[in-house]
Amino acid sequence: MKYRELYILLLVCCMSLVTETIFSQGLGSLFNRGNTKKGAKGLSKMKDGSDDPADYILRPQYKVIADEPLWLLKKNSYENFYYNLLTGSIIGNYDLNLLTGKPRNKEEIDWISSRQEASKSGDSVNIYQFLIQQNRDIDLYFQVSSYGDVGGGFSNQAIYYGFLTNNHNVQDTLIDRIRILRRDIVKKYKIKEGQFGLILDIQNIPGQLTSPDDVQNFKTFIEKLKKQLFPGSEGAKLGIKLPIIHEENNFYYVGNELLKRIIPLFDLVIYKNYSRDLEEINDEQLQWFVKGNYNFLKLDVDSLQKLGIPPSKLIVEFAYLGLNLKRDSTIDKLVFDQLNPIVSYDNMNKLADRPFVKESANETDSSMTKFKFKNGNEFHYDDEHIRLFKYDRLKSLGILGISLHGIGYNNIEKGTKYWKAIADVFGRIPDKLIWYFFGTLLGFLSFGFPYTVIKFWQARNIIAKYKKYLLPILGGWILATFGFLFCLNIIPRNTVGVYIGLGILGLLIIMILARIYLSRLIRLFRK
Amino acid sequence: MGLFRRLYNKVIIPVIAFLLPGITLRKLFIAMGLGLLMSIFFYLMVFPRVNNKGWVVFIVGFGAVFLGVLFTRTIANLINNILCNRKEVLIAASKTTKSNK
Repeated sequence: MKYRELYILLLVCCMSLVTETIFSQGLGSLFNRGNTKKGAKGLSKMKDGSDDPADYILRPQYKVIADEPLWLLKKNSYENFYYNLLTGSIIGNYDLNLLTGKPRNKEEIDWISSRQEASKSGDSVNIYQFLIQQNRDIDLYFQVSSYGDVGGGFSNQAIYYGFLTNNHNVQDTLIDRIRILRRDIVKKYKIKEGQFGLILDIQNIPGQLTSPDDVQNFKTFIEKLKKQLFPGSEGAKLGIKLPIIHEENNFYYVGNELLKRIIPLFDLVIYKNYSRDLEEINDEQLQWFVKGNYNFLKLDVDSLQKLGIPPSKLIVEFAYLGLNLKRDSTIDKLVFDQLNPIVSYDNMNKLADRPFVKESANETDSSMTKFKFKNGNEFHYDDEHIRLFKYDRLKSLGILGISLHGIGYNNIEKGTKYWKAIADVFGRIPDKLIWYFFGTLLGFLSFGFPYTVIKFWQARNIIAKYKKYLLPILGGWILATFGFLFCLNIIPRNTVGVYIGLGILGLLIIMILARIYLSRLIRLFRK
Repeated sequence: MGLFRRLYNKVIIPVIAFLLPGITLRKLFIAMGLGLLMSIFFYLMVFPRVNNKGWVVFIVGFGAVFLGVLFTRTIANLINNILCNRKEVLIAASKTTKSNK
């Protein structure tokens, strides 16, 4: 008995000596050669997320739409989209002539609906075909846009009044043209009819046209449009673009009746939280662009909700536009540079050529990121961090999704962090089905161990009599169970999970070896 | 009827026995039934997490459960055989048999 204690003490001393030697050489050197190093590196690289937006897919409850009307559409600009992060794309628009109902951009429509575009591979392919090739389930939207700038010596009010009252069958002409265009594109490029939607971007309707008759006329127009273009309302994709809520005397926001009556007719509402016509907004309200930017956006969503737009239908559109501000020394305030108040991200680089100091946005006051120039002028814009913050907060408000205005036009290239922000907030990395297949098999394998004991009396007796078989069986069962939990991601499928598995395996091997050698030692003492 | 019975005895049973030794048609139906039932839960759990078509997830789930059920039996038999064929167990068993004689 004395000798046994002595030998055990000797064994412990030897083990501590070996351990100390390993630690004194440094654990790094242990993993510093060949395959061990590669394996260790591979394990340390296992992460929960991914830096590449291409690895993500969108969560099914959200919509992300790329908005590229014809005036923004550049050749091949749409080839830089991450189609895995888009549920839809507004490609092309019908620039409505309010006096006739015909398009003002007939040549452009002919261009977009013909085979004049070429993909990178050199094959002749239409834009719609290209989009479908990239994502078979993508929704395609055609946009009807009108900004009231028809001219011809008529006042805006008279033009819109004529349109709303269907003067000279303007509405019928529009609906007929759209129906034919839609039918041709759907047929020509073999697109499913349910995939092809319509967005109404009718702006600058004067606020004076809000009498009950005008409201009813507008509603009748929408009903007619929906009935003739989307006869089966199921799966219809009719949307409307609403202007920024801070614009003064706006048709959509004067009075509470209009939106409450027309919104139920639409499947989605795109809210443009920016304006290219800054003169339409008073100076105080303009400040929200610069300070407390997100807080005002939240207020906008609340206000829209009160006006009868449920967040579940609401898509907030973001433009890649920055604000060019100059310091007015007389009032010591930043005011918009009247010559060039809005700058696209594409032109931002030209501004940034001048010496500037970049100030990152502060998420607590939700302002925008600034370029501060030496002359006191500033350029405000959303960088990818503040975009991520805004997307995230809007998501928490329960909105349907976001729209990205001119993402191709602004050269928001693949691989940029702007796409990653979308992926992080609205996407997820899909699991591989193979994990669940093997997980299920391992689950049954794990069940096989207790099933042996339940089914076979021989196995029960042997395990009861020979305790030494208990450890390998228990070990096998633990390993199979671990594999099952690991494959199903119940034990996280990352570096920690792998180390837990290796730990269990190592512990089992040590226990089995220790048992073998201890029993040999004990046998030796007995002799 | 006669033709079907002959086909069943001469072709179906031998083919199944060849592919899945030790299985009976009854067990096979149980495995398929379990596979169908459990693949519903598999589908409900897995479909929202992967990026595959619904029917693919269902078929893979059915395959995994069906194979898994058969796998459980195989593993149980394997463990039992390994334990029963250990040298010391066989020796102990033969001693017991002799003493019984």
